[in-house]
Amino acid sequence: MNILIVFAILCNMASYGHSAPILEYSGETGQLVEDPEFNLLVENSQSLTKKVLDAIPETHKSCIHSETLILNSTSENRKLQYLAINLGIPSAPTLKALTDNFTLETCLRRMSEGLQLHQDLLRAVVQRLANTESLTALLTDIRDLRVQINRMLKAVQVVESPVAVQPTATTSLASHLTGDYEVQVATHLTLVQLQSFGQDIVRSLRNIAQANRERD
Amino acid sequence: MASAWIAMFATLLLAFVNGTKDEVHTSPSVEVHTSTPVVALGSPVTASCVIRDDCPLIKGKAIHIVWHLNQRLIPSSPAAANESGGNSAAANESGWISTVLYSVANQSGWNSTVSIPSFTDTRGYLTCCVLHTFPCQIVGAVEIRAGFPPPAPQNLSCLTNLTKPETLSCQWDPGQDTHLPTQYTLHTKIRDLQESNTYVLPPGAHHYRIPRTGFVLFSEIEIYVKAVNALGQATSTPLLLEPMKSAKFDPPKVLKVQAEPNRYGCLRLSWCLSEEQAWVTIVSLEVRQKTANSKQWSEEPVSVPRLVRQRPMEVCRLLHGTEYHIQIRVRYHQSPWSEWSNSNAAVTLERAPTGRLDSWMTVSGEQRQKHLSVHLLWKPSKQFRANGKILSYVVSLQKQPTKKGQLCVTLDSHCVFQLPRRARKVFLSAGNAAGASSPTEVEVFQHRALAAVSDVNVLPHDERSLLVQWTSIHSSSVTGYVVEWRPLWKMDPSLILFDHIDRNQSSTLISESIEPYKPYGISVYPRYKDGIGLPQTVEAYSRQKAPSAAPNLRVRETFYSRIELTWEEIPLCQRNGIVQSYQIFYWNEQGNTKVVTAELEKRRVVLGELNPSSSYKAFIMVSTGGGSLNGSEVTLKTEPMDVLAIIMIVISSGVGLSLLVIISVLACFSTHERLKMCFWPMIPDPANSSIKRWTTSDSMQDIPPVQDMQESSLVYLSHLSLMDLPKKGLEKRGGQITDDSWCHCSDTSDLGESICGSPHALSPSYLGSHQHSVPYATVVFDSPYSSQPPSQSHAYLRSESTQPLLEDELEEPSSPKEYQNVPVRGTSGEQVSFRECQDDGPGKGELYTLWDDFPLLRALAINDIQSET
Repeated sequence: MNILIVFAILCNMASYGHSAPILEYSGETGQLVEDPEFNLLVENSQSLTKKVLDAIPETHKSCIHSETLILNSTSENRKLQYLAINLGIPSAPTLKALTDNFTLETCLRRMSEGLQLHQDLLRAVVQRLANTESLTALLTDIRDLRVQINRMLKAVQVVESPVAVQPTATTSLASHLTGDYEVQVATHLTLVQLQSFGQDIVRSLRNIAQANRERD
Repeated sequence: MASAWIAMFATLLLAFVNGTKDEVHTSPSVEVHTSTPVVALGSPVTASCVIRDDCPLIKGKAIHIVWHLNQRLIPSSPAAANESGGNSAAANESGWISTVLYSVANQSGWNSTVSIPSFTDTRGYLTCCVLHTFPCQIVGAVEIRAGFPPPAPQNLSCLTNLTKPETLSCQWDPGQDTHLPTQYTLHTKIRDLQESNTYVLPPGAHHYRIPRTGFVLFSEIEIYVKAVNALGQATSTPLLLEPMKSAKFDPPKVLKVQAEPNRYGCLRLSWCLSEEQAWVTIVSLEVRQKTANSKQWSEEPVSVPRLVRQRPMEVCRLLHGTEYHIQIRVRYHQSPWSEWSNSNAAVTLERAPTGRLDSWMTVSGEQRQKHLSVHLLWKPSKQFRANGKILSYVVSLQKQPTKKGQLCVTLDSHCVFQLPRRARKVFLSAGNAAGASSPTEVEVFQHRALAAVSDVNVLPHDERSLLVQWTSIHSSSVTGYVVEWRPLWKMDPSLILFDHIDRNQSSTLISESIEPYKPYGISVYPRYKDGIGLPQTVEAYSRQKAPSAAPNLRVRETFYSRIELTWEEIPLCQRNGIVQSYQIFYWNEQGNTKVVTAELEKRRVVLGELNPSSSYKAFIMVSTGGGSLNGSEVTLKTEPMDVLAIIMIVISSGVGLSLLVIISVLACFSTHERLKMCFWPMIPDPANSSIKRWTTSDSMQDIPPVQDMQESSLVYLSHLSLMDLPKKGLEKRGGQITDDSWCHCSDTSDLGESICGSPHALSPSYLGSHQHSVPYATVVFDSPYSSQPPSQSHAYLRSESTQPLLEDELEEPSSPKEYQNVPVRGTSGEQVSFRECQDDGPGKGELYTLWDDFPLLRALAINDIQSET
């Protein structure tokens, strides 16, 4: 009994020592966090996120022929902000550390939405690309990652509700892909944005996993 | 007409080829069809053939319709072919029973139906044939297929391939052959996506690779296989799996293995998955290791109890100061293990050695010497841990080794040193870079010649081990045994090995450093409480084979009828076993082969009974317990009979013959008289024999004068025998029997006469009746060989007797005037002379004294006197 009290105190101290969202996360869905299957889902999601991130450079290389469209060139990418708006590529959802205002469910929902967004954007461009093998594989990995995120989301949702998506994004992009350059730019911008969003997912998943470990 | 037939056949053939499965329209006028184109094997089949009247084959003709199945005629009775129709059944040669139900000629044409109650072929063509001329004409056909409904596919299994392109490969066992075209489809259902897929397989394929889009890596997927053919369908048991849990990873990579400071018995391992699978963050992992000296990996790999990330990990519970080779393998949860990774090696941190060393000491040195010469061997015991690289072994007189008391410092596992006779113990310790082990006490026994074990026997166990057996000593003072073995072909003392055996054991298996076909000397020493027993040593091989080299035959000596061969011993390293025999095979030019077995120790053999000056060939066969080897063939040649040999033989023969002759001659001389008597008896010629003549100078020519005889031919008396005449003969002689041989002798020889004159024979009756007979004595003379010239004949001296020897003698009273007796050996050297009676005087008294020595002569003298009186 005393051990449990000490354990609870330590957990509380740890929670206070870190960010507030973990407190919220731990408090709201404590029984879910303790579920080893949820931990496994986090691990699997981390694996798949890494897989997606690892695949982006290769996919970019196989799809983008323009030398000016460089994956990790921030300065060059800033020049494409107008075209991004013009093509109708929406921004990825923002992921933040878990806080009271940004709960685990919100975080997971944003992840799912963001993945769905990029899935739709890539599906729009893949129809216009010649070499689609690696892009198709990337799409599959994104799909699988989203499956894991949705399973986590399903696990933490108190009331089951469909995952929100932005159906307008894809239709909007497909209608703007008038030429090859637009296709190249759209693919490039989508991959760049996906890379950034994937890194956010990594951070968020690490945040969730860390919260789980501390909870354990 | 011909063109019309060709056109008709072409039409029929075209119709046949283009016919549908269940109906063949051979021509508008002929129709063959069946309601059962595909049936279960053994099921009944019916088919009908309808020929309309407009068919040119039946116009205005009476026809007969026959059926064939795969060119086999289906028989039908004539009754079946009549217009009223009917049933007929017959069994054809293949066993099945076919029935032509009816062949009916109706108004529109002909209609024939065939029924096969049990279709046993898997595929066949039923052909309808119109017979009105020979041969019958095929008008149509239908294909029938028979088989089974598909069984449910078995053993469905899937394996995920994570190497790009990622796939999920599934395979199954289709089961029994259906004999029918069977369509397999693979069905998947991804639960998380609410998505189902169906993959149609090509004919005959029983495996399929689901593409990457067809499965979600971490989500369960339900898979099953459906088989469909004309007779039915079947579905396999659904397989529910998570693709990642069915993935076989590529072998991981061990990047680095190293020892960390102050982490004794541990190694730090850096590893990663293959590049294409590096995205998998957590996996199950197993580690296996082996020491650098070991050939076998650890039997039980060490499983990491939880899922691990691709981070460096620590492998512990390793031996100190030992080089380890480490490999890993991975899997995801319960998926199949990957292959083992590459191997990487590192050495754990060293610590001072622990445990004791097993030792064995042999001592030599005379009792009087002050120091003993000690050969100490050691080896790690089972408990000994080197904990690093041994830098030295120290043998010391003191427990705490100091430089002063050190007897030996070596890196070898043996040492020879001089030990003071008073020393009772030495101490042995091992040292590495981290320190020295606690010393092992080794007792120096003073008694080293106690009772030995008996019946040491060594048996080969396998190629690299030997079973040593002995009769144990039943004594409470025996504490154990030591088995020592050494390679006999190398004299390096460092190669001597030993093993301590418990006192209850009487056998042990030795396998360390045992090689096949090599000789080993194995000694068994009993260990007593207060000493060591004498060893019993045997030589043994774990395996034997034929020698690697045969000895070279050398000719040691050659004679004309024999050759002596010799050879060197086979070097020990080429012997390959214990030599059991040397056999020499040799043959002459005619091919007569002989074999001779040599004694093992002598290594020489003599080939005898050879022909002189002949050529032979020979080789040696040496045999061990494992086989035989023939040596090279050598040519031998015996010596001819040369001149020298002949001369030698002749000389030796001559010498031998000469010796024989000399011996014979000597023998003849020594028994001259006897031989003469036997072979050349002196037969006096009565016509020419007379004493008178004897007295003549002529007759005396052969007899030298007395003076001469005295000087040159002194004959010594060596034997005097009195021939005892048998009384019977004498009595007969007295009865006028004159043919007695002795009497002949007396008549023919003066010697015989002297024999007859023996006093023993001089009985009164004999003397009275034979006045002319004179008894004689045989006088055999002997003299030193040197004084008797071989050519000189003996002189016989007549006794002083006046009795006439023969009648003639009486007439011729003249006789030698003087006879001389020579001194007899053994008597006085005084010479005695016999003279005529008239020669009296001073010699007379002397004569009398001498006669006492000659009783025969004396008796003659007395007899003479009596006759005078």
